[in-house]
Amino acid sequence: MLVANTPLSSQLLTTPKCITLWDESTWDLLVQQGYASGLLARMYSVLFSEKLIDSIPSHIIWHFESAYKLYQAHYLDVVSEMDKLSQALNIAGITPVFLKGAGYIANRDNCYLGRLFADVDIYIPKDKITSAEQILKWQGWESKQLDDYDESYYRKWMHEIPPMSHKVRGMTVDVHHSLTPLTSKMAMDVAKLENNVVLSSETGYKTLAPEDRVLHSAIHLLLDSEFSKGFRDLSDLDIMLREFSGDNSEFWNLLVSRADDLAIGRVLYYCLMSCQQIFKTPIPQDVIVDIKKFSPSKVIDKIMLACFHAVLLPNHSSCIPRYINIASSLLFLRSHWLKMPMHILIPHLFHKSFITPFTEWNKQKKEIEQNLNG
Amino acid sequence: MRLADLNKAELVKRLSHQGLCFFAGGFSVCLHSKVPAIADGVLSQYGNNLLNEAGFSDFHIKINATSELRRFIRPRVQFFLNGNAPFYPMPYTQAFPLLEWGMNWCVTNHCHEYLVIHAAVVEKNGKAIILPGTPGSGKSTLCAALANTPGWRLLSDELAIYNYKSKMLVPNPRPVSLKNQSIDVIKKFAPSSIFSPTVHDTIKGSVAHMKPSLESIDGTKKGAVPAFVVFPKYIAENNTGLEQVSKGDAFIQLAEHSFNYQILQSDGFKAIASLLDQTSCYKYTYDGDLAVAIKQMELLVC
Repeated sequence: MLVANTPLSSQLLTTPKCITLWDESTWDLLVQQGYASGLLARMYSVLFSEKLIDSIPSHIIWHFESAYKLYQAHYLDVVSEMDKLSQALNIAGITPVFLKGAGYIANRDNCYLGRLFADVDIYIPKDKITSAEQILKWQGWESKQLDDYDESYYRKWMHEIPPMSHKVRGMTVDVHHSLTPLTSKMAMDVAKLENNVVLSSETGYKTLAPEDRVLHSAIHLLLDSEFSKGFRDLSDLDIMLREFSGDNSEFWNLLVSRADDLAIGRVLYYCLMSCQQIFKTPIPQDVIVDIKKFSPSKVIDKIMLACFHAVLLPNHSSCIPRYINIASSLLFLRSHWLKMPMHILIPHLFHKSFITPFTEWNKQKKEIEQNLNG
Repeated sequence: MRLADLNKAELVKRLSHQGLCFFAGGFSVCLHSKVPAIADGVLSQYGNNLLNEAGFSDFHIKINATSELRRFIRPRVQFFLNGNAPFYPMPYTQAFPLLEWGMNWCVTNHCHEYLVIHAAVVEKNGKAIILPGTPGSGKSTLCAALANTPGWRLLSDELAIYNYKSKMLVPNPRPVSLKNQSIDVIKKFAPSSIFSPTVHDTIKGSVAHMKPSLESIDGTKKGAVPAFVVFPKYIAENNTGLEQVSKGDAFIQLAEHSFNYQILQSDGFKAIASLLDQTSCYKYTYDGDLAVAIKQMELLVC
């Protein structure tokens, strides 16, 4: 393979005992990677559960403790927002399905521990989206101001309505009515996912079923064009795979057949290969053989896996390979190619590169004139 | 070994290759930069600071020109922490102020084991005074004047770091940032201090930095007991002096001035409460007469 050694961050997360052998300069590099990938708090929670906190040098531990404090604050904010959202939507008889980070919390999946949350994602069936939006507005949430083009773009082509945030608390809420853009070549059949929704016995919240949580997370990560949190998201997947396969011996077969059923086998293939490559996720050999049926031709396979490997490593100079720019450009093009067919993509890119800058410029000019007059 | 023990060639070599690792206030920094103003600024302001011979640095900072192409047309510099750029680039001439602001940001954005308050801290006779203040309150001027008065040491001109477990203030002595008129005021007040070249037209106006005393730097490891919280307010021709502030009032103001009160959740509340148990709180209105102001502060700590 192109890069042989696993990054320190993955070593700590998957074989935490290794830290007892580390010297100052190894810690120096690890903390830098931890900051760059936003995973210091997760590392702390892993070391805590393995009773290895005392092995962190005393002058270094504050980096982990501080990151963990920030996580705790994030966590409390998200939990309270989830509660308020549920209450608000309940008035209209709607029960949201919590996705991604909020979904991990709702299910008490191991991967919520030490994870930072930027927003709350919920899914609401399309026929209820209008009343959901209305009720949220009455209860103090407001939509982000978008220009006319972005607004109509969201409404027409996207799988979510424009992001909302609460007037006072300010936390962003993404309200989805589908899980992939409507135009995407990899559009997932929402009805199938909805039929499989589970109710957490611990928190009483609805989320996707475990195998669907993995697939949703994978599709989000690998079809995106932006990978600044790629390592964190892949670590989520690694932790989920380890946890779910430990809970249920049939999990791997369930996962593979579900991906097949949803026609996203290729995404699962890339996801499992990347997890194995970067986190040494213990995937049974027969599963590896089985998912090979989803792989593309040999050349494409090599290129794609190398590209994903490059962008999913921690975003730090000690990990980033030389070909990173080529890899991210290729994945950017691929992401847009998969997201929209050409007859939508080309006008969209044209608008974004020529018309949006012009309207922005015009808006700024008007603001300056207004300021001068006022 | 102190930073001043390196000759300039060695310092420049470290800055542009393996990184210059030293203790800046209470934190260790590994600094990379090819910008001459950074080498000059560090040499002028951090000469008393110890070099860090160990392999670990808290913050890996890089400040470099944004691109070789823009070298001659409005060149700019960018601040990186661990390879990521949290701010927009700034004009090339503002490299050293950018380093100082960036290092403050590193602390306020990452240090949540302590309560961090936007305030200057000075100490005499084992009693520390916390001087919180909004820009223009005269906080930095008063702090710089006290830091130049025998018997006083500087803990910080920007960040009061309160360890609520040990109930002590953590020193973070770094160059004192002076703005606009206060640059000349302090240059006149303490002509023997060492100032970095004044940089004009920054977002905060004109800025210069003043090197902390050797005693302040050598006291970095020695915490201080908080004894007073004084909210300075500079008003021309008004010398009302000290007026007691209620604990409730002080609580709200300290919470507003702190960077991580919300992040610390209930610990933040307990931290401010514990700090107020240890301190007496005053509002201090002064007309800019530093001699009088120093006398007032000396009366407090005597």
